Amino acid sequence: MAETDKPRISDADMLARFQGSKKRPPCSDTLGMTLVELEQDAMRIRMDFDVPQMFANPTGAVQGGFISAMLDEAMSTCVIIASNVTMTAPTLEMKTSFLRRLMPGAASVDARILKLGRSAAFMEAECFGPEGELVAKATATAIPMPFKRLG
Amino acid sequence: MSFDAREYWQDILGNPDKRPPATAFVNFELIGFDPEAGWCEAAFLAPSQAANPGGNVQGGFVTAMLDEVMSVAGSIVQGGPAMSPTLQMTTSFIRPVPVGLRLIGRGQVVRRGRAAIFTEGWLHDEAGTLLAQATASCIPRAMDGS
Repeated sequence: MAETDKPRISDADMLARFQGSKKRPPCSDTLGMTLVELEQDAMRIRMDFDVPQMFANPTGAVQGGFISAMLDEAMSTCVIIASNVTMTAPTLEMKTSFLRRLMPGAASVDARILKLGRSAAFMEAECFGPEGELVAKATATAIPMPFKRLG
Repeated sequence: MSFDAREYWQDILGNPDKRPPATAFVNFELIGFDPEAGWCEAAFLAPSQAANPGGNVQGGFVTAMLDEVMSVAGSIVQGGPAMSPTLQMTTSFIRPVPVGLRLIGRGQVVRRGRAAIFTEGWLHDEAGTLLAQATASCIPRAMDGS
């Protein structure tokens, strides 16, 4: 976990703070995102999504890039939370494996940080469908940077 | 039985009214394609709904734009009505991608195999600056011609 002087708050308080945030970025609303769990010490979070129909490909399933968007959303938020809202981490590279189709509607993502270093962060995440089936898995690297606007 | 790939794909890709929702969301606008050489170029414009906290396009939506042109490239090389579901895709986010700016995407088939198709993609701004690039593997899947 990143060392900072900023006082830590409990997981429950951190979750409440994010759930009550009035400064959500547009992409979070577009993806129908809700942060539902977080563990600061374990550097992991869980998000629920309500994927809109507007992300459907010609077969009616969610186009892969938008699944990547959910995974990216969770991995990026995980860095912000694990750093006690002192750092953000623009993604450098991200790889997604698409295991199954996902239809618009309910989905969830589990994301965790493998290493949060000074010059690089390594993250991974899994996306699950409404029955808990594994839909996609991603790994990513990012560069941690000081967070300007606090969530 | 002859299949006119150019006519078939021009009809699907060149008609804004036939765009599926995901394609319309990123404002896909066909520039050109070549079924023999296996490439497709399109302009994109990311809507403000795709903005991250920094005001740029969230990475997954960048991946979505690249997936559009790369999947088209993987589909048009198959010699008939076809799709190319993506198995795995890696995107490098080289520079921030602005919201609301016209972007140029290109998808290119690297190898068209019987069981797998490998593609690459690039996203530039109109000045030609490279913003993102990607590689992907997908599977060829013929559709019933109708």
